Amino acid sequence: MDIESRQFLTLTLDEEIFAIEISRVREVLDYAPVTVVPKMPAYFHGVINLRGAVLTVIDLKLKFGMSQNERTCNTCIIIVEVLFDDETMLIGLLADSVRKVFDINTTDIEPPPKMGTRLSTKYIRGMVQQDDEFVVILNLDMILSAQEVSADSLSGRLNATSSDTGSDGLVAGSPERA
Amino acid sequence: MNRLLGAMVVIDHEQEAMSAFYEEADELLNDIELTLLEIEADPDSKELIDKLFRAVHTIKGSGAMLGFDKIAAFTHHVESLIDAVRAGEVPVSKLLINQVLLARDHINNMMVAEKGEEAVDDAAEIISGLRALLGNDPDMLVAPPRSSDTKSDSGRDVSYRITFIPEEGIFMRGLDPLMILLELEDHGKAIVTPITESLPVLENMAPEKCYIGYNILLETNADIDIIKDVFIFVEEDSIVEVELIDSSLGDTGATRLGDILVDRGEVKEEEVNQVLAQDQKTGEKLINAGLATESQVAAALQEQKLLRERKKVRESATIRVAADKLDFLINVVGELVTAQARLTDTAVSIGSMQLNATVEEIERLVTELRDNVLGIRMIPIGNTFNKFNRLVRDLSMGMGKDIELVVKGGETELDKTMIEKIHDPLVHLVRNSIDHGIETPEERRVSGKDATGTVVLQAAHVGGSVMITISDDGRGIDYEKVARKAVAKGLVREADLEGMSREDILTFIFLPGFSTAEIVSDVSGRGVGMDVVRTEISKLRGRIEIDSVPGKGTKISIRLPLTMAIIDGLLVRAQDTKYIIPINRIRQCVELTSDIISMAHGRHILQVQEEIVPYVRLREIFNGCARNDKEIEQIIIVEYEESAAGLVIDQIYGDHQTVIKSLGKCYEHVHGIAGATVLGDGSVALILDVPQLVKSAIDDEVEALEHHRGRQEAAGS
Repeated sequence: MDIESRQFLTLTLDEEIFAIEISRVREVLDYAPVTVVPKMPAYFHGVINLRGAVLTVIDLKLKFGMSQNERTCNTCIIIVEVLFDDETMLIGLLADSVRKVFDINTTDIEPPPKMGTRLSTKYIRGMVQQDDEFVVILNLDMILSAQEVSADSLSGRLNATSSDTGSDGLVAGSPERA
Repeated sequence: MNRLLGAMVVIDHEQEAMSAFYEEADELLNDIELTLLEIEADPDSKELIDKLFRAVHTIKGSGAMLGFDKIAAFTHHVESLIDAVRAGEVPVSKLLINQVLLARDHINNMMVAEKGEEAVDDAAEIISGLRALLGNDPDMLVAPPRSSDTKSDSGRDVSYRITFIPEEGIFMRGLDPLMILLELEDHGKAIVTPITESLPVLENMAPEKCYIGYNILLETNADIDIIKDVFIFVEEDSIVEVELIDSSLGDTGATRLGDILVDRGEVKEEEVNQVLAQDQKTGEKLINAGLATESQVAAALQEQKLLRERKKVRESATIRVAADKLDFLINVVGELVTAQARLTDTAVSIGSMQLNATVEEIERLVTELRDNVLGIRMIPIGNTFNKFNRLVRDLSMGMGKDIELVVKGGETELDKTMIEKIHDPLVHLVRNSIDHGIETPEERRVSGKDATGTVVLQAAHVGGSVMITISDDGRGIDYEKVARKAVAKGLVREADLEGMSREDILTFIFLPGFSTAEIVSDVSGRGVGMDVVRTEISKLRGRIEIDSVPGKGTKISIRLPLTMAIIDGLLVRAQDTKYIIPINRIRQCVELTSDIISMAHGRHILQVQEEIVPYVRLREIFNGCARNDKEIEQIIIVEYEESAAGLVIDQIYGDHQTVIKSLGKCYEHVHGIAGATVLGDGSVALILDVPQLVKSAIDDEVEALEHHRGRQEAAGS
């Protein structure tokens, strides 16, 4: 890697700190009610209207298997550019809060540890130490990989779909999203 | 210096010029095909033959200029032949039309090959066919007109007054006026005078623009057509006037004098023309010679004026726009509609008279804007319909049938995307008519019909939709055969056939894998057709119906919405989510009372008029909630295939018209959701895909039943 300083936006998910390269970030919105799209994996939080465009919002905590907690006034949606199926698209990421923008030297970024982090290493580009804290740098393009999405949909980790006939293996999620 | 500049500019804009060439050539090839068919019907029309020649000549010239030598060389053969027709040396015949059509196809193939950089086989056969039609001495006409003056029979010299004012951007198009002037000199003696009125001051001059026009006096023995041909590539955008100077007009000597004055720069040409106009009246001369009456001349002058005006109007009538610019515009207009709805809501709650008046005006303007913008994407379906002429001609000839295609309502406009998507289904349906519908001339005569069969393609605006019908006066559909085939394929039980009406039987044709043709011909009959046609039309939110009278003919009706981008729907709520159900799918709304529920004894069905209709609760399928205990729920009865289904929802809001937004690739597998839309209050509603939704609900139930049965059996054993 070349010696370069890049800017990263930091966000928190349940006390852990993560970072996204600023060039991918379009804007940060306050939390707004979403419309849930049924039969999608639970981490597809829903869709929102951003100036006429319908954007998907991903619940990162659910995606990474972290515990859920209450929404606060700091909860926000970060609009980023990701690659999905060779196409660039905009999505929103649900975060507990956003923090400062840091300059990070690419030489300071260390490869992700083999274990000890709560999430699968494929989502991690690297780790860096910043002000006595460890910051995990996210690999955005892996969050919405096509194979994962269809696999998750089929395996039944879906948004709210139990019916009276009670098929096994489906998780009845809470429809409370407003 | 000009020549050098011209060459440099050509290199810079080569890419642009090439794609412009492809576009132009595409249109020209289309025109050539249409014109050929028109000539077939009207072989004596000089106008049509000229039109054909110009189109071919343009392709050859543009192609040569851009380096497509093979295309230019091949096209030259075609041009020679048509030139001969134009000169009256070769007659129009069916054979000739066929040959030129083949040649046109080959040119098309060559261009496709060029774009994709593939090779295309040598069309030696087509070329010899063209040459054969030319007669004994094709070589006489092989050389381009420039070097041979063999067509001009007048050995004497004549004079032409030529005005050539190139358009400002002529260099950008890779054309150099100097080359044209040099070409003129090849024909004789030319005196060129520049027109410099438009030359700006040096500071304001842009070096790539052409500001100079030319007055040319040409003495030559060439025919006027040859001279006009010199300008054939520039005449579209530049001003070109070629006039034969009748020496008798120079009786007064005014013509010559006037030009000399212009030469010397002492008089402007416009002024000379003005003066000349007073002498030029051919009309007057004719009247004096007793060859025409005053009123005849007056009428002819009016016609000339009218034709000139029409030409001007037609030329400025259209403008090419990139499709994505339009899409962007439509998007913005869609948002405007939404924002304006919010504005209206807010204004109502504020309740100020002044504000209301302005808001109403805005509403009116936005509606007008929306209708107009959506209308931009509408083009007449006649263009598509006319393409079928060739198809009908080739197919019917190939099958030994005599079929005439009648097109009605070609001016009916449809959204451009819809026209593109309806093309293939239409082709399939027309092929069906020709292949299965219309009988051979012998068969027809035996049944007392005219030997020539007719296929009618018609389009019309009906209500808020577009109706396209394909009808023929052929043998109609054999209901017996269809019913028997359906039973044989296991699509229906023999017993069920009892109560079925003709319409019901006809619907079997739309089932996958169905085909009653005994021999699978190359054209149709493979059984993959009608169900695909119906699916395609469904995707366009349209409907298709067949009607047929055995022995008399068949009529297929397709109903399509006017536009794809905007949907007319019913806004409803199930639990916390709002949905839009496309109006064209809705039959009616009914109340679901607890009485009705208890009547069904646990099954999710109810009776609507004479039908038993199954229903599902959106709340359950989508939101995962159990039944609530409301007294009365609402059911929307929707069309599903040939019957109906019910969708139970919590609340109906009312009609809603909005722009459809796609949800994205991630959501492709969600059955039942077609997209999303933004409501007036800024929230997002999901648009239901009714057929998908009902089908998936059925599939789920079937699966659950089998699962349940499986468990029962497991428990029992």
